[in-house]
Amino acid sequence: MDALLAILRTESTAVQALAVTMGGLLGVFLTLGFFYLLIWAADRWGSRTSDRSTAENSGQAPLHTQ
Amino acid sequence: MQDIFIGFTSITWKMLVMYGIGGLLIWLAIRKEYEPMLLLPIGFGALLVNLPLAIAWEHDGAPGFLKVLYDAGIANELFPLLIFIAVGAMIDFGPLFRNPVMIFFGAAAQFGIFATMIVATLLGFDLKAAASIGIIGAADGPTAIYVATKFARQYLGPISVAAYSYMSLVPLIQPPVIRALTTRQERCIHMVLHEKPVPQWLRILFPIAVTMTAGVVAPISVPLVGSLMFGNLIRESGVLERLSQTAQNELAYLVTLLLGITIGGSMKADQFLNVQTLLILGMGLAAFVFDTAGGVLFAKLVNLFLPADRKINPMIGACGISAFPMSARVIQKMANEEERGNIILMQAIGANVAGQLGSIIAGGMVLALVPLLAR
Repeated sequence: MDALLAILRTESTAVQALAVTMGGLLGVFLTLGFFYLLIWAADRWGSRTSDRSTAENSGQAPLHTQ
Repeated sequence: MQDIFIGFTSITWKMLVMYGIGGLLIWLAIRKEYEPMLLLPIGFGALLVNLPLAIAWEHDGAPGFLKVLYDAGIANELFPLLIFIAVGAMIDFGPLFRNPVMIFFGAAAQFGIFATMIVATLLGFDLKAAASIGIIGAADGPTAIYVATKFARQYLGPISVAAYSYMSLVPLIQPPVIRALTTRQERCIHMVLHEKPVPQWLRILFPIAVTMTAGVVAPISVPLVGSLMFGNLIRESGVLERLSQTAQNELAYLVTLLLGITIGGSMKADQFLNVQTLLILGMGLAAFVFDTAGGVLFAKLVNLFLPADRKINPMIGACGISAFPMSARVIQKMANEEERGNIILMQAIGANVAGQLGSIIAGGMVLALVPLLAR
């Protein structure tokens, strides 16, 4: 990585901008992709938890009505 | 005798031009209602600092009130960060949680930042200045100001004016770009709305997780991301309603007022009136066009891999910019014009919220990467 940076530092400003573009866009997509996974995992975990609690509540319902 | 008339004798043609520009900004704010909360203070600040002797900026070696404000809020990046706390308290990530795939449009629409940065380097700007100009494409005023303050303070005035002016012109900029890149059939695509409750724990954990992630990926972005997410955590905690309201109202209004007039105060005629300013204004417009095109083309690309009944209306891609909620409203209006009753507002808002997230992450990436290469 250091070698690549050293090469890029000697390149023209436009080439450096291109490198920042590639790195920046990749970074934005990966970071937001990670946030997507977080939301997706939370959604999965949340729906499983709510399914379980719904099932438990439906099982307890007769106790309350007795 | 000359001292008595010094106010008259020290007026230059450049000052007169700046009075025109200040007046134009105030006119746009009042008559056209283009971002009036910022353009009016910026316009008035531009008048103040260009009055003879610029007493509001500096006099006899002592700082004037505009310079005091500049040093207290812009030079140390405090005002943009306070604005971020306020913005964070206003953001509802709910529509994004319901349609998480929209997050990728918030990434794609940042294309304009980087494309404009390349164009700026080709026009002769150095890498740091080019990055600051590109950030206009974030459609996010505080991020643009923050990056410009770090990298190219000499261009802070034109960059801020461009960022806020074009943000207010989103209803004029985006529709022609979208129409040029899509067919009517594509613009009429209906999308299924996913309505599901969002648990509060997710709303609370999300800003914390985003801050921690940003802190690891790009530590230099922590002030930006952290202040935004702090505001959002105040909002979502559910126990700080008064603080949340204060951040959304009093803090936002007060800092916006000071930020606007201080930016106007940085628009001194001899620094503002040059070819670079014209280039920056031109590239700012290009950045918004590139952003819109990037988002729309990304949606079209995604559609190539989706089954016919799950296609995405490519106009949604244009909402990946940070101009919230203006961009989402523009897209919904366009969808309704193309086919009455086509409701894509919630998906558009999801992409728009993702754009707010994407713009600060992109700002963080620029802040992290550019110093590694800049000479």
